[in-house]
Amino acid sequence: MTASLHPCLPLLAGAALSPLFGKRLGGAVSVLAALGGLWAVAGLPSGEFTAWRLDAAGVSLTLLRVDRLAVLFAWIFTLAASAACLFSFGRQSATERAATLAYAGAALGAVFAGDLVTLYVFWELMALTAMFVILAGNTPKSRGAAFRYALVHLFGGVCLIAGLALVAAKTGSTAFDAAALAQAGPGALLILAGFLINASAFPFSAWLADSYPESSSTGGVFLSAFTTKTAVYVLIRGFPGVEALIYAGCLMILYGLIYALRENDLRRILSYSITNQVGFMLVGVGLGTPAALNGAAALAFCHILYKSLLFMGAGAVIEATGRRRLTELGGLFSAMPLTFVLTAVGAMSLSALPGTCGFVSKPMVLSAAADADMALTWLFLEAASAGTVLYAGLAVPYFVFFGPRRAASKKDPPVREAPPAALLGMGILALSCLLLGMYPAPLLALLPYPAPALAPFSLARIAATFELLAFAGLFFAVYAPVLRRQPGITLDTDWFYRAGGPVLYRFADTAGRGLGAFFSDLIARTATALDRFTRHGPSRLASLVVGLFSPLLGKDAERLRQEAARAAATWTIPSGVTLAAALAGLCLILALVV
Amino acid sequence: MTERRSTPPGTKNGRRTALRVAVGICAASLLLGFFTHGQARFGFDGLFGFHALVGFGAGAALVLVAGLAGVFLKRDDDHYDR
Repeated sequence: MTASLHPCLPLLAGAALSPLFGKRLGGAVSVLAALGGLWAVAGLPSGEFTAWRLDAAGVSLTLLRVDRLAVLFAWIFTLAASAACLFSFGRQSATERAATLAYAGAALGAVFAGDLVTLYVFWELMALTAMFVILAGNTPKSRGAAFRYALVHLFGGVCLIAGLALVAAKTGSTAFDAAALAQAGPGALLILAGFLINASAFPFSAWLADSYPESSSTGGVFLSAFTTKTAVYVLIRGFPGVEALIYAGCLMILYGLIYALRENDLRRILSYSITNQVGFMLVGVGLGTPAALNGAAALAFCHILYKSLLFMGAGAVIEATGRRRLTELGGLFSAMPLTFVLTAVGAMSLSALPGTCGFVSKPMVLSAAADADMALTWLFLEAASAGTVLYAGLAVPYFVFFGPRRAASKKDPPVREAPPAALLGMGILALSCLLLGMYPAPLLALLPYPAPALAPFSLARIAATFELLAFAGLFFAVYAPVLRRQPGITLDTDWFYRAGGPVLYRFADTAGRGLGAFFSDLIARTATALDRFTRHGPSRLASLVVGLFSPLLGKDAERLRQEAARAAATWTIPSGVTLAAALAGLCLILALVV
Repeated sequence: MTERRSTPPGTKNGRRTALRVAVGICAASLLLGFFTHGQARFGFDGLFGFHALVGFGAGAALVLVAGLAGVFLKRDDDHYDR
């Protein structure tokens, strides 16, 4: 099976080659590389197998493990990478082209990793390349965000490798599957923590909304697709049915909803939306039944489609206007009608409107919760689905494309429609959202676990969804003025290291300087004391010794004491005394030795 | 969903139209729910207007919670730049 082309190779080759060319030719190389990855996935033999095995330093590595779960994620990763490369055609810097392709390649490498060591290598490569994608934003803010991204993901990586070491020490194996991890004890918990950090689980969630919006308008599209969904993939594979994931998922859903509803920055809204939607996936993983895991995988698949589409729409708007806050946007419908239509398809898919891919995938998780008789969880997920309409489903298309453009000035260049390649990339994703929404068979055929298929188009289900979304839409229509965003930010958990970091630095600085001053003073005092002792010590000692014998010395006592003190101070001690002292010393040594 | 009308929804007339369309769609959804008898998995979710209540109520609850969060967590745009 070594004849199988590893799907990450075309992307990594593209990452190496595309910076050698100009923007257009390099863009063409990027598109070809992504399509090469898609072709490699299509060319994988059916069935489960492993290939690309290496034995290095006593560790057996499996670079290519193919099964239905890996193939589902590989399909959507390569499809998203192809559409993103098309969207970015001719507008990416050489660094960004290399970083985005390497990032997509690393994500594919992680998906096909057959053991924990291989997974760790690609996991870290993914974090490193994503950092460069953020850096390619090329602004002071993007540099700060990339630094913070690197710190958080280094911490996640440390958790992962520490867990890996503990698991390997306990079980003697680096196999990456649920059965092995279930027996692995505390090491498995560390691995789970590493995965959850990448999934943007609360409270390790703020890195996502902090970093993705600071990337370039094209870089954000790539970032939205891979890291969190790779985390969902490894959670499905490694930790299905872990009940804590249900609660972690619910917390993420609520957190994402609240922050997305408060946020003013267009791409920060979409970033919080990622956390919100990944929360649904985590609930599916936590439920752990084959139907729930299928639901999580299907939702990840569809989420990549519509969230990439939304990031593309946001990127196109930001490129056209140079503005990113909802309070500075609005009224773009007449200038960017095609971008509006395509973005609206993404927003409707996110809201799980019947006829879009969200309607096919999200209810799988809800249905699994209902099958598990978890009424409260089901009700929470249902209410959260309605909330999606408010923060993005209607809010993004409405506040960006309609109403007055508040911050527009006469100096601003005229707003133009997105370039044809960008529209083509968006069009492919929008079409995929709609096609899978109306004809989900290709997606259902990819689902990894054997489970009774959910009938997506029952009249009762369509009616229930229609009613839910219609009334959420009515709420939006009535309270749109209340829902209009305000300038300002909402503090998130990154406050602890963004504000806490400088405080810690100042504390360390003050404490360090205080300690330095204390020790400097101590040393100065000690030196002074030593100086005083060496200057006055011998004369005082001599004076004391002679003083002891003063009753024997009679009237000469005082004179002899002063002479002895003077002799000691000037180191002119009489030779008799020196000899006597030497003899006394020798006697003492002899007494001690004998 | 309800906002894409020929009259731009950002204007006053557009907003009125959007509200009318939204009410119309809601009425149609209730009617459809009435004839399909809802989708009952737990019993309570099959009640008439249950999903309408969840849809509208979730919006209200979220706006309240988000507003409350803003009281404590809202800062200026340049909070981290100062």
